[in-house]
Amino acid sequence: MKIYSIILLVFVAGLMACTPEEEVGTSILDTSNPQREGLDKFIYDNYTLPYNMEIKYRWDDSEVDNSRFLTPIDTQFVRPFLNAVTDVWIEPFESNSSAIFAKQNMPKLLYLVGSKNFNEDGTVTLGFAEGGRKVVVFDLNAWDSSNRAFILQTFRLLHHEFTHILNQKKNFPQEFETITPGGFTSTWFNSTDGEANALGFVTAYSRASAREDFAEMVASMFTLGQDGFEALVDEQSAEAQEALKEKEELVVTYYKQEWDIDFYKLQSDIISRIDALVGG
Amino acid sequence: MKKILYITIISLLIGACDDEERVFDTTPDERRAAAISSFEEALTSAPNGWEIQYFPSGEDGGGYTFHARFSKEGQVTLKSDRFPSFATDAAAATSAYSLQLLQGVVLVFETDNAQWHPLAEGGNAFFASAENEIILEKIEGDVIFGRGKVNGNEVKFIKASSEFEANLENFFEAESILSAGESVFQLIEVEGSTDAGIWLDYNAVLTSISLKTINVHSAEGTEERGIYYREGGGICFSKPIDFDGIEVQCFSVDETNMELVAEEDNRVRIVSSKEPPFVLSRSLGILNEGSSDRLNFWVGGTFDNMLQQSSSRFRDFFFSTVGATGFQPTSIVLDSLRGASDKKNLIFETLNLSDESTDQATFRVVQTINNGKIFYKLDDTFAGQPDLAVWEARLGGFLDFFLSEEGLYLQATTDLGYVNPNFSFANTYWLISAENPSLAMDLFYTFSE
Repeated sequence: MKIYSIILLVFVAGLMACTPEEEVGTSILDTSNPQREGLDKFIYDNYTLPYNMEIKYRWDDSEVDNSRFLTPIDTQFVRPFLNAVTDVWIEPFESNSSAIFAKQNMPKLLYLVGSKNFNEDGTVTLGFAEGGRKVVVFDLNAWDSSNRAFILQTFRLLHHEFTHILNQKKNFPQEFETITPGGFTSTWFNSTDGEANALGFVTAYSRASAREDFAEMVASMFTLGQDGFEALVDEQSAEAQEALKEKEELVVTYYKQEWDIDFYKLQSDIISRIDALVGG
Repeated sequence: MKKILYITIISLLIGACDDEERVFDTTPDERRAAAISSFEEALTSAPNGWEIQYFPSGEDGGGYTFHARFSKEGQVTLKSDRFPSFATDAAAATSAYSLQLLQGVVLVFETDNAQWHPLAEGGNAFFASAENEIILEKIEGDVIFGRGKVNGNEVKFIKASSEFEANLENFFEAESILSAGESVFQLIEVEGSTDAGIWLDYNAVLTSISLKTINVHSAEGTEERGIYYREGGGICFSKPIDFDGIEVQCFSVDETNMELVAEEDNRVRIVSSKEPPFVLSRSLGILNEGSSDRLNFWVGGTFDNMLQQSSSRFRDFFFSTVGATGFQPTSIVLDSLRGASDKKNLIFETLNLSDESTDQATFRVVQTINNGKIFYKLDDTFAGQPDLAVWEARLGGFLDFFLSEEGLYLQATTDLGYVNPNFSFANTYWLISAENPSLAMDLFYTFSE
């Protein structure tokens, strides 16, 4: 006991002996709130404050794969793109779900990239979602709100990635994997959309996995509209029609049961907003 | 055991209270902040801005020059040398930049810049390997040395002279000489005489120049490739190039004569000319006339390959398409036919005019032999789809001359000539042979010393 008392005493004395003689002083790091102007203020007011979303448009290589040749977005496209995000993505969900749905589920980070993201197999990655919180969108320097094909492609991507985010919070129904189990392939890019449709998939990429199939179904139904989707289904064989219809039912049920959203109403809202955006 | 414990505690206490010797006078944070501050001050204080020399693909190609002005507010205005129409104030592109402490001080091009980022986009013609982030390594006088953060390729920032920005447009004068424009010849003069044994090949997109020599006796050739960038109205190579024994780093533009003149040694000049610099005559000695010798040479590969590749036997005979759009069956023409003796100075040149709207192609052949003093022309035109029979007939006429390893054959009579082109789309190589030259008008020459 005595020994331990001595040790403790010596130890405390030692600590006292090492008391710093100089003040550390103030940090040289600037921790003050930044003065936001222009585009940065627009983002803060319209996305960061209401939805806790960080919109990154300045280059940050930590957000993307450095082995790719990518370029930042041209700032002239940031505001038009974000306005469209509000119109065609955020507001339809706000209007057709609980008031808090968008605040809770919108991705916490949207990273905007100007150039296409070319893959070694010749395909182009349009965007990706990560960790249920981040969505990266490529090819935004080609932004053209009057180009319907471009707008559909961009929002198909965003709804696809957003579906992944929702699925990461509430998984998609497992029955979905059993509808066309033999059609999944890692070399999905070797088949066309038409070939995939004939097998009961809504796009070629749907064949990558059940998870991608579910996201593709949602994104396709949102961007084709119900009429467009049904027209696609009607062109297929009876077997493929049955598979697509079964997938549609599971999608609609998932949104109702898990998120209390009327899928068809939301779908109609989105497609009418896309029509308004592209002016037709 | 207790002794060990006491000794350990005492040692620790003594060690803990030991005075720290500071290697640096300032803290790491202060040093890092100072590093950023020094680069920021340098970049933003240059009165005429900066000349940036950038080699985004290393030795693969492409040296590009920019003019840059950095503002303290985080904006950079760039002009590029690559696009003539961009070399004006109106077309200068402004975007955001920042200096960040990552692996050292890193210059980050934060938003898209129409002058810089075309070099960085995937799928483009510029090797697509420019970067958004440049590590700034050191400042030496008026130069900041940097390298791409991912690929490590060289970037040099040089304080611009007052004339530099205005000189951007002069870069295109240099390239108009290199591309020969409407001229027939790109000639390299070394010590006042044109040495056609050196052949210049120029690529504007990759900003490269290849210097090739060829020896028709051995079919051996050499090639030296240089990546250049625009500098002070002229061009400079990333490494000096040997022009027939004279090393040249930079060429400047002689606007009076529209020539490129070596800055280090004005004995080397690159000249474009509409006229050959040779006296027209036929002074070569005839050899093997009437003999049974047979001369062969091979060109190309398969038809497609032949458009892109030179023969392995006859190194400088090749075909290519017109324009940069690639293989176009209705507009394929012989684009270049070249041979050169390093001793006898021989050049074949072929010019092409193609009018796709009328589906018509024109062959125009210009042959010059420097030492032999021969100048020869042939014009030929055909219309319609170039099927095999048409090509054979036309090329048969076209091949009024050819060069083999053994010598030069000139066919003076197209009707009775002994040139037998054996063209086939399926053949790996096209064999062209001439034999039994019995007509006096068919002339064979070799290259005697």
